[in-house]
Parts: sequence; C-alpha cells; structure tokens
Amino acid sequence: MTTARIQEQETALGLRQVSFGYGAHPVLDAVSFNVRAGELLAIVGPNGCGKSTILKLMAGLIRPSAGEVLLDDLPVASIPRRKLARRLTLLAQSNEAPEAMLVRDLVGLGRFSHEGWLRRDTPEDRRHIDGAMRRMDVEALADRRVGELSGGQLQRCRMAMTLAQDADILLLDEPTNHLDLKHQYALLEVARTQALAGRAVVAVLHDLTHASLHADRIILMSEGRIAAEGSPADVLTVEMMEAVYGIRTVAMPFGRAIVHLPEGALR
Amino acid sequence: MRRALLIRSGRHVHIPIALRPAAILLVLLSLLIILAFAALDLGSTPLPAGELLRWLAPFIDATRETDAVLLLRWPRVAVAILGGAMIAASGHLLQIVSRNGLADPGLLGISQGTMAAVVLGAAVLGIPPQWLAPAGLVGGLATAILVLSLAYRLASTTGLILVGLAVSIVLGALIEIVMVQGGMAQFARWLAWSHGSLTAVSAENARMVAIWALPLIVLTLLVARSATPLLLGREQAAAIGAAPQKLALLLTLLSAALVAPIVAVVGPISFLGLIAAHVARKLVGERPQEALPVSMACGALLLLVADTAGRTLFLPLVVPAGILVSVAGVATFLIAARFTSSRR
Repeated sequence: MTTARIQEQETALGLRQVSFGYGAHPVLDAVSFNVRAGELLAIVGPNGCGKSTILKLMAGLIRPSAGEVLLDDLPVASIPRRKLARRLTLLAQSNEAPEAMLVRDLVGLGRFSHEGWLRRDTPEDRRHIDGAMRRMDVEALADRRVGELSGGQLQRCRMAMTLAQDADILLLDEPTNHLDLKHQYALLEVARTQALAGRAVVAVLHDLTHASLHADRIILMSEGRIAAEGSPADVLTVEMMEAVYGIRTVAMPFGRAIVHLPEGALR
Repeated sequence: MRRALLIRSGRHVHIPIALRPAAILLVLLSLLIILAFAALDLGSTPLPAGELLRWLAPFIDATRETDAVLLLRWPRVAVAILGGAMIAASGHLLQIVSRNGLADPGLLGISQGTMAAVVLGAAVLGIPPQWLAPAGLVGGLATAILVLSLAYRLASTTGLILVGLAVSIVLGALIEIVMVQGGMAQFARWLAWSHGSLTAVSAENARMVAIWALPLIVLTLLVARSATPLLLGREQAAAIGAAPQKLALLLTLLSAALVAPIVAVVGPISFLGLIAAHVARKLVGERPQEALPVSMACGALLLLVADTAGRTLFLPLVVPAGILVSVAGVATFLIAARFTSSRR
C-alpha cells in the first residue's frame, strides 16, 4: 500500500510498528495498521494473541513499548483523556457497574466528556442518551437499578453508554459477551450502522461467523503479529484456520457469512 | 423521568437538580439541627430551653452557669457533627476508589497511622497535647501514602486492601506496645480514646476540627461529580473521559485528610463510614454528587446520636460513642442482611 493511498482513506487512528510487552515473549511484535472511517474492522485470533492489548493501546490505556499509536498524528496516550473521549471510546470487557445506579444514569455517563462544571444533562445530552437507549433497545429498563439487570441487559446498557458518547471511533472489546442470539446480532447490526454513518468501528470478536457476517475487513492475529488482513473471504480460509488456530476445519459459506466447523466433529 | 429543578442561564449554564435527593438531604439536615439542639440541652445538668436559646442568640448574654455547662457541651456537639460527616465522606470516597462497599478509613491503615503518631508522640516523644492532632494528621497521611505507594506496585484493588490490612496490623501492635508501657490510669485513658470517645473534646479541639472540616467538606462536594466514572472500573472510566489514576490518588489523599483530624481528637470510629455510605446509597442511589452529601448528613446524625446517647442514657456510666456506633453498625448489618435475604 503506498503512502498516497493511506492519505486518501482518512486515516484517523493507526498503529506504526507497535510492540508491547518485555522480554523474550512480547505480547505484540511490530504491528502496523490503520483504522478507516466508515468501516467495521474485526480483530480475531486465538486466545492470548494480543487482540485486547491492541484495543487498549488504541484507547491509550497502555503505552506501546516500541512504535506509536497515532490519532491525527499525535500519540493517543499523550492526549488528555477528556479530549480523547470526545473522539474515541472503548467498550471495555469488564462488566463492573454500580449496582444502585439507575440505568438511565449509567447510559448518561457516556456524556461525561461533554459536560462542564455548570453544564450538564442538556437537551443535546438527552437526545444522545435517548437515541442510544433506543438503538440498544433498553428504553424499558431506564428506571431500573443496574443491580437488577441480567448480564445481557447490562451489556446492552453499557453499549448504549458507549454510543451516547458520540465519538467517531468506537473500540469494542468482545461486545457480544453475555448476549443471547438475538441481541448478539442486534448489537453487531448497530455497530455496522455506526460504520455506515461514517464512524470507524473496531471490534475484537471471538466468533468468526460474526466477524464474517458483519465486518468489512478482518485482521487475524497470531502470537502478537498480524497473520492475515483483508476481506472476510480472503482471511477466513481453511488454510489460515489450520495455520493460526491449529485445527483443520470445513468452511461453509452462507451468503456473506463463512462458517468454520472443525473437521473432526463432522466425521 | 426523574423530576428535577433546572438552573439555567444562557448556553453555558444548565444544571438540573434532582428533587428527591434534594428533599431527602433537606429532611436529614433539619433532623440534624433539631438533634443538635436536643444534644446541647440534654445532660446531667438540665438546661431550660429558654436559657439555651438566649445562649445561642447573638448579643444576648446567658447566665454564667449556662455558659459553663455549654462550654463543655458545644465542642462535643460540633465535633460529633463535623466528625461524623468527615468520617462518612472519607469512607464513602474510599468505597468509590476501591470499588469495595466494605471500605473504611481503617482499611488503608489511615486510622491506625494517625493513632500510632498520636500515641508515639505523646508517650515517647513527649509532644505537648495541642500538637498531637497535627502529629496524628501527619501520621495518617504518611500511612496513606505508604500504603498507596506499596499497593501501586501491586496495581490492584485487592492489593490495596491487603497492604492496608498488613500495615494496620503492624501499627496496631505498635500502638498496643506503647499503651501497655504506661501506668494503669494512663492505660485507661488510652483505652477510652482507642475506642473513639468524645468525652475529652475541648473548645480548642472543636476549632481545630472546624478549620480542617470546612475546606475539606467543600472540596469533597466539588469533586463528588467527577468521581462518578470510577464506579465503572478504571478502564471504562478512562474510556469515558476521566483520568482514573489521578482521580484515585486525589480521592485517597482527600479521604486521609478528612479522617486524620478526627482520629487525632476523638479516636477511631469504625463502621461509621460504612453504615453512612450504605444508608445513603439505599436512599438516593449511587451517583456521588447525590450520595456523598447524604452520606455526610447520615454520618453526622449517627455520631451525634451515638455520643449524646452514650453520655445520657446509661448514667452514671458514660459509653464511648465509638462503641455505640459499632453496636449500631452490627445491628444495621444484621437487619440489612435479613431484609435482603427474605426479599430474594
């Protein structure tokens, strides 16, 4: 890819030769890629391949031990959190949430970076909060306490909080955790809609079928490096599965989706 | 939708104030004023209410006896109210920082650090009484910083609690070694103080506490809102735009500063921070901007009631407020546990 082409694609956020970790077994080893506005990028790979570490680096929660994570040519970890939060948000994996808080207030926390000492809960804030709750289908839970929610309901409310933040870059760490089939699909559809609206969405996904169905581009990680990058059909091949996951699979395409089943299970 | 009073001016000021928490706070503060009045009135020497009013009113002189009696009572009432509020705020802030509903100033070794400095200062270094409170404050802050910097290397909440406990136990042993060195009379005084007692509070103590309390309480109320993201855990807090590390450090120092002068003057009051924060969350929910003021009001009420009850109900016996708060704390938890289990 030439430099000229990178510039054409509105590269907001990108990794340049990023390594993380010390000693003989670095978690990430000289990883480079750009996040493009208007696309849903899925990061997949086996356990411990460094997927979540990439998201934390992109969110500026940790600093690379070598290389740079840049947002508008500035290292993300050097941007003040409040300013950064108006551009970029992360749905972290932990589902820690204050039990006695009302769902509406939890979603409202997404507006934290937009509020001031004397200005909060403005009509604009409310519009974003209401819109996010509608999109995640949690309006009916608005007056419930967080402690009363099921794991899946809480996850949808946390996603609503992330949407309410109204950032151009959404980083989602295994967002379909705890969700049932319907809501897994619904959440990834919302993520797609966000990408179609011109935002950049990066999701760490476990489920390769989800990735094939919803992602525009997939990065397949293996042992801290990028093993393959490209469209779902290019990346999720039987050969790649064997090389990266160490398991022989049979691939079955269904429209956009590619389903990989372990060969051993089909005998 | 929650009902709220909207303060609005132009494009830059837009502050909705939720009505229910505001109403609850108002009720608690009114109760506090009534009880403070009662606490001034109650005691082994009864005062006519008229005398008390004359004493309270500006430019009217009360009788000498009233002056003398109230000179003993007002510092206690003032310290009970301010101290209760400060301990409650300190405990509540630590609960937010550690994400542990059981956190208490005792947790970080702050109480023990303050006590150790006071005990060592008085018994070993011979520091004059008026300098014991500042010495205790230095001890409490030093312990908080020590515990935080040790726990920083462990980089986890559990690490913080473990380090705090370990430091508390070591300091507790140190305190007891010093306490048993003196004679019987000395030991009895130490013992009363180590359970949290307002008996010896002087007007000078009350002034010292007030000087600490006012700026710290104002600061607590100002930072309450920005502490909210910490409730989501460090990573998510950073993702929504907070600086969790800085915030946690600031809040821990604030909670140490809130509790140190009280421990120096009154001794440690365990359970108070825990009960007050628990009740506040039940009443107004989790948002610190609403829960913290309610917590402080509850703490003030609780310590005032405990101290007044301790010095009036069991006469001629005077029960240290710390012990009554602990009893109330255990009772609260038994009731809460029973209530919660029967509901499920």
